[in-house]
Amino acid sequence: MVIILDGSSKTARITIAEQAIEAFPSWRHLALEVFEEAADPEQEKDFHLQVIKKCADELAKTDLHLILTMPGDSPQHQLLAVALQPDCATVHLGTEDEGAYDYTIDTQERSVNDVTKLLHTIMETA
Amino acid sequence: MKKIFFIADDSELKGKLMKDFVEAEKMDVDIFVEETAQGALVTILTHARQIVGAILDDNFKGEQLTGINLARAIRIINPLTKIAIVTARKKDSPGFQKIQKEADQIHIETVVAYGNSNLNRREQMQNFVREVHTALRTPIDDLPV
Repeated sequence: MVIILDGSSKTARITIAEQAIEAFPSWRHLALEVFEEAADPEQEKDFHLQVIKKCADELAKTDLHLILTMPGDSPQHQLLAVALQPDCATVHLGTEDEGAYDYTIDTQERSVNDVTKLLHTIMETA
Repeated sequence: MKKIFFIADDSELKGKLMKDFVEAEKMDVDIFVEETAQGALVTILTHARQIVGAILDDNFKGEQLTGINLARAIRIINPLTKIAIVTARKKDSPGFQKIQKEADQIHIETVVAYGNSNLNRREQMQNFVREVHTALRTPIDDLPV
């Protein structure tokens, strides 16, 4: 399974994801920024999708799951959400939704604990 | 999680040579070998926290990703990994200088030039493996900073 966690700040996303994988040993975390910083920016757009899909597939072979974190305005969000179906849940940290996500946590109203609880609930279903 | 020694090189022979050497050194680690840069990136993104040492070719036939790109990915996820870049370029060539400069920027331990003979190259890579092995067996408090 893959959870795409986007929105809020990079630090918040990474902290939340790292806390979540500590509680669930069969999960791994990948921050899209890490991948983008390392890879050549002139790479074809499909390349990012291919590599992330392969990462998810490789982890799945050994019964491992992935939390993929990315900025809220990433143009790749929808492409990834489609490419990683059917076993993918999308979680957005922020207020705007427009029906594009499976779950949205309003970070002005809700706490980090609420986000963590939601992630744990989803991760338990994997 | 078991530790991993990682080799990414599009030369099957070089990958095999290093794999045999790592096994002969009896390091208590798994050895992963990848022959494509894309495959290597997938391994790094999924296993970087387990990778204690990596030998990366500087370029891969037909692929845009370079050894420096791969090294950068490892560095971001796991700053403690010891990394060697191997290149066919001669040490005094502009190409080598460029790689060395990029390697220095991301604190890569070693850049191995092919030099004048395969023996020279193999010795340098084997020395690197021994260096990683020694670091693995050294209590962290005794490591130089």
